[in-house]
Amino acid sequence: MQDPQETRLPDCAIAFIDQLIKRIRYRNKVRQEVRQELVGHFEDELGQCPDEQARQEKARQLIQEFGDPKIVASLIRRAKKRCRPVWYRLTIRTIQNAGIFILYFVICMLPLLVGRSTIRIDFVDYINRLVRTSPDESLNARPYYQKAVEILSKDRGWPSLLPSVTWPGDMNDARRMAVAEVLAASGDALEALRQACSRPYYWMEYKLELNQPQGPSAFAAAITSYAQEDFTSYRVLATRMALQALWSAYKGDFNGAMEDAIVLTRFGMHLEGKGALVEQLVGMGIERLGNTCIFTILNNTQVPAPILRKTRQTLEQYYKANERIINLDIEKTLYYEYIQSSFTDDGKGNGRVLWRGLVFVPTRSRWGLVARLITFRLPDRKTIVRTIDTLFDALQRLSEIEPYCAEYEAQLRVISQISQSNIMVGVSAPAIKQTMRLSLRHKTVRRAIVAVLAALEYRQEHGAYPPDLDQLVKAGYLETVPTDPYTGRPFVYRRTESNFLLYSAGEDQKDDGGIPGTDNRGRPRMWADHGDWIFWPWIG
Amino acid sequence: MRFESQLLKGIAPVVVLEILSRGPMYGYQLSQAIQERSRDILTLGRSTLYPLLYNLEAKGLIKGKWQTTDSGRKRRYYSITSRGKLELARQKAQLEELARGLNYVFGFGPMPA
Repeated sequence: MQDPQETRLPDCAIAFIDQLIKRIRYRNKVRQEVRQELVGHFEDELGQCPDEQARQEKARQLIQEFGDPKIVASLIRRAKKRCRPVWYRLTIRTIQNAGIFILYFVICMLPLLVGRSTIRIDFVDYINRLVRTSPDESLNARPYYQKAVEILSKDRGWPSLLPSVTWPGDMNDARRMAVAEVLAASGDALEALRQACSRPYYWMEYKLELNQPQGPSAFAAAITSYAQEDFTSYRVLATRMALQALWSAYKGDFNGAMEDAIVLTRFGMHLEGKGALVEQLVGMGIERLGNTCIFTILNNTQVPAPILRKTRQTLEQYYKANERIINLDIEKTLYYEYIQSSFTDDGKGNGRVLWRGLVFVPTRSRWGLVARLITFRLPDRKTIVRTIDTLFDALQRLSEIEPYCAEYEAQLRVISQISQSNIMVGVSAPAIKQTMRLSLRHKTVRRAIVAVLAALEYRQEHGAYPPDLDQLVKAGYLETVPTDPYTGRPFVYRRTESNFLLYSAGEDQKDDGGIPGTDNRGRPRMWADHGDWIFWPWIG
Repeated sequence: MRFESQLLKGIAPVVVLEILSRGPMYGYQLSQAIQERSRDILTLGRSTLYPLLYNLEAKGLIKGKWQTTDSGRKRRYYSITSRGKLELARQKAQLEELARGLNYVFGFGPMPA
């Protein structure tokens, strides 16, 4: 609002003041105060003039004395800015600094947001070529498994009826009757499963469905979920076969029982050593079920020596042909696929990291990541590929050596270092390491089961258990003395009054004198992280 | 007499503080007072006056306050603060020393009381 005293000023003075105030370009309240002060000043100066003409003349003179309004406005603005309170200046400065930082951060982020990845390799196709063992589809066990699953799926309500595999002799009559009924109804499915296990290979064709979300994480999820489709049914199928094996043994059909237990071993092996990690885990679970069946049968019956020998020899043959329990090719491929879609491609195998590739940036904390971002220390594609290669080389080596080797710890350290400094690796490495741990247990059981079968066979043929494991080698039951992967020494074997004791030192690598680890209720427990792992007498 | 701007620039704040130490004044009144007190030797340019006042205010050496006069006009009166008084004393001591030195160099004659 115009001050009434302004109206008394000559037009040229008002125009000058307006121009000056306008150029101050500062808060309106401050400008109005300055205007009022300047108007007052002009009014005071002109107040001495006797007439209008003199006022006009004096006004022009004053304007001249004030000089360039732009400069005066600039000086006033600067001075007024200094008048702001400290807290206000600090706030402004903070906001400015934050703004500058944000701007700088945005500049740092730009390279992550600008640019595109190039999809050169169809990794689904690559994975399918990796897992396909033979060009001859008739050798693939998968269609037979699917047939068995299909037959099984008609029989609903089964899984809840018999949740666990139990020795029939330990069941009550009602439960035994139920088992007999269920097994009678599942004959076709089990026969299809036996046929499937007679196939030499197993592979599945992975597909990335069009309706599945696209993108790097979606790729891994799709591959895994696709592989997982049948696994629930596989587990049910395996459980039923396990029960069939136990049932046959209970009824005195030891040959059929052991053959069915071996079907489970074979079933598991079909899924092990290739494919997605989840597939291999299911495979290990099924093989473990087969092992449990064998131990349970041996524990509860007197299996004739010829059947023991046949079982041992078949298992040895399978173990030799399927030594590799874990294969991480698909896991590594998933990383490569993620890298492909998270980095630019310069056509020479290198490229710059994009937004979603930040999970690969080596850092131990979120702030470390920010520090790397703002200092432009982001790894290129080749560096990350090298890191992933190093990781998988270490994992591969880890699967080949045993914990008693000095190199084992060194490889574990390499894996830990990479997984601690890389978010992406840190997410999946623990699961991979756990799988490796399970595969090592698996290796241990395989060796132990052969030794137990050999010792039982020896007793039947010689009337007593062998004095030591060397005797089993000398008598031709075993090719070599089975070693404990955790100690590098032979399994601990001891004859007892009427039986024998066979155990591994377990993950703690400490011989506890054949005392098993216990669960939280104090009951002996297999695979406890303390105590020994007793394979015979079987504690289940 | 027109002084070199740099010379006046250094002296102007202390002159303003000195004048205001005698009592609160508004802009025009202050420029008049300087002129009178200096017997027309010192004249604070219009373009310098207000930026100078605002700068001194920013430093906390003077403070401005709007007041309504008897005639109903609103004026911003500036008065020296205690901090301004300390600064004035310090600057005055320096100027005195400077004047003495200049006197020795140029032989201006005895300093007026």
